This record gives sequence, C-alpha cells and structure tokens, in this order.
Amino acid sequence: METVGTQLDPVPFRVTGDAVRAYCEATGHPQMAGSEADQSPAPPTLASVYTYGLVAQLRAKEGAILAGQSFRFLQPVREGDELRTDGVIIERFEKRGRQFMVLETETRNQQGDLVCSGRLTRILPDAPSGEA
Amino acid sequence: MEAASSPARCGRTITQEMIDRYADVSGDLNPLHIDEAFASRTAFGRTIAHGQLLLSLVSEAMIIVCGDRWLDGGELDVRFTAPVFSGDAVTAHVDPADEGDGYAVELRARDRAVILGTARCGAA
Repeated sequence: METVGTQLDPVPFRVTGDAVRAYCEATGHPQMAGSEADQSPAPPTLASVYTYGLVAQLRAKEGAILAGQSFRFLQPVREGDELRTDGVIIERFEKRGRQFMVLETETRNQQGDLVCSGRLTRILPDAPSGEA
Repeated sequence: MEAASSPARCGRTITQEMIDRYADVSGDLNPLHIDEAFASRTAFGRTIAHGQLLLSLVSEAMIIVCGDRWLDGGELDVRFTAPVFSGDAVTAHVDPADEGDGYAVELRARDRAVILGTARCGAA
C-alpha cells in the first residue's frame, strides 16, 4: 500500500479532438468553441480523465470510492496540448473506521506551464485480500 | 464568453450507458461502476456513477456563471456525500455564496445532496 510521500509515475496525455469529443459525449458536457485564432478549449473537468492514469497506479482500485475532489484550473487546455501529470500521496488517515488517502496532482503542458492542480480524496475498500 | 450574474442550474439523467462510456473514456474500470454482480455485493447494492462523471455538470454550471474565467483560474472543491445510481435525475445548483465572492455548489438527486462544495471564478 502506498505511503505518504509516494511519488507516482508521471502520466502523459495528448489532448486530441477525439478525446475531447468522447468526454463530451460520455458526460453530456457541451463542446466549447474557440476563437478563430485558438483551438477549442477542452472542458476543464477533462482533468478527471488526464489525471486518472495516476489513480490507475494505486494498488487499491476495486471498490475504492471518491470522497472529495478539488481542482484549480490555471489556464485552458486545448486540443494539441501534450500534458504531463505528476502525483504524490500527501496524506493517509482513518475516519469512522475507514481508511482515506489524499493524492495531490499537478499537470503541466508542453511549455512546462502549470495548467491544473488538484487533490483527490479516496476511501479505500476494506482489505479482504491483505491490503493495509 | 460572457459570464452570467445569476445562479445556474444544469441537470440530466444519469444512465448506465453514460457510466459505461465514462469508464471507457477515463479508463476508470472500477467494477463498482460497471459490474452489477460486483456492485451487488457492496453496501450500495448496485452500480454507482463515477463521482468525476458528475463533476461535468458542475463545470457546465460554472461556465454559465463564470464564462471564460472558469477555464482560466477557476477553482472547485467538493465532497461526495451520497451515491448516484443509473436512472437518477441530477441537478447541479450553483449559487452565490453567503460570504465572499465564491459560489456554493450542490448536486442533488433523489431529493438529497450528493455533492457539496464551493467554487470560484478566476480573476477578471
């Protein structure tokens, strides 16, 4: 089980028109029009997709529940952007007999600009298979 | 994109098809969301929607109130207080906060809050 301070492997994500359309079709979020000079911005909450590769690295996945989420959208993400998300476990705690884990994320674009930061709090499933 | 000055509401009905599609798009294949047999053995008794799928509704409402300032400096902080099931009609409520310049966020389904939190537009 990951401990506080565990750095996860960085997750790359290329923002394609197909990825944005698939997100909008799945969620019902309207697609967003850009100006003639700009590529269309992606819905900010596409962040839940481009950061998921970090969550996928966590050992306790099956049955885990999302308890909280914060995002700070620092600049629009656009089609064609090449993103990289880094993540670190910053907290673990127990509350009412349940185990919680907090993952902090930072996403940068191809220029190295921070485009999104976030914190995700998960309730870990009970550990019948030996997870701590 | 111009921002509105009034509260915003966005709603839709969550279906298992949406949940399955979100699982494919995000890669979040947690069986709690997509495997009825697995979910039936949990405290929920059936599959539940991904919490992050529901955040798209909040984002949509914040675009109404913030315009481009949601994409550029927007902040969201929520907790998930109850599950959302396939077939639930959910509505995001975004209202000016009682104090400060932010917004109170509430997502409601089955006559109860399923998401509670705050949000803020980016600086003008």
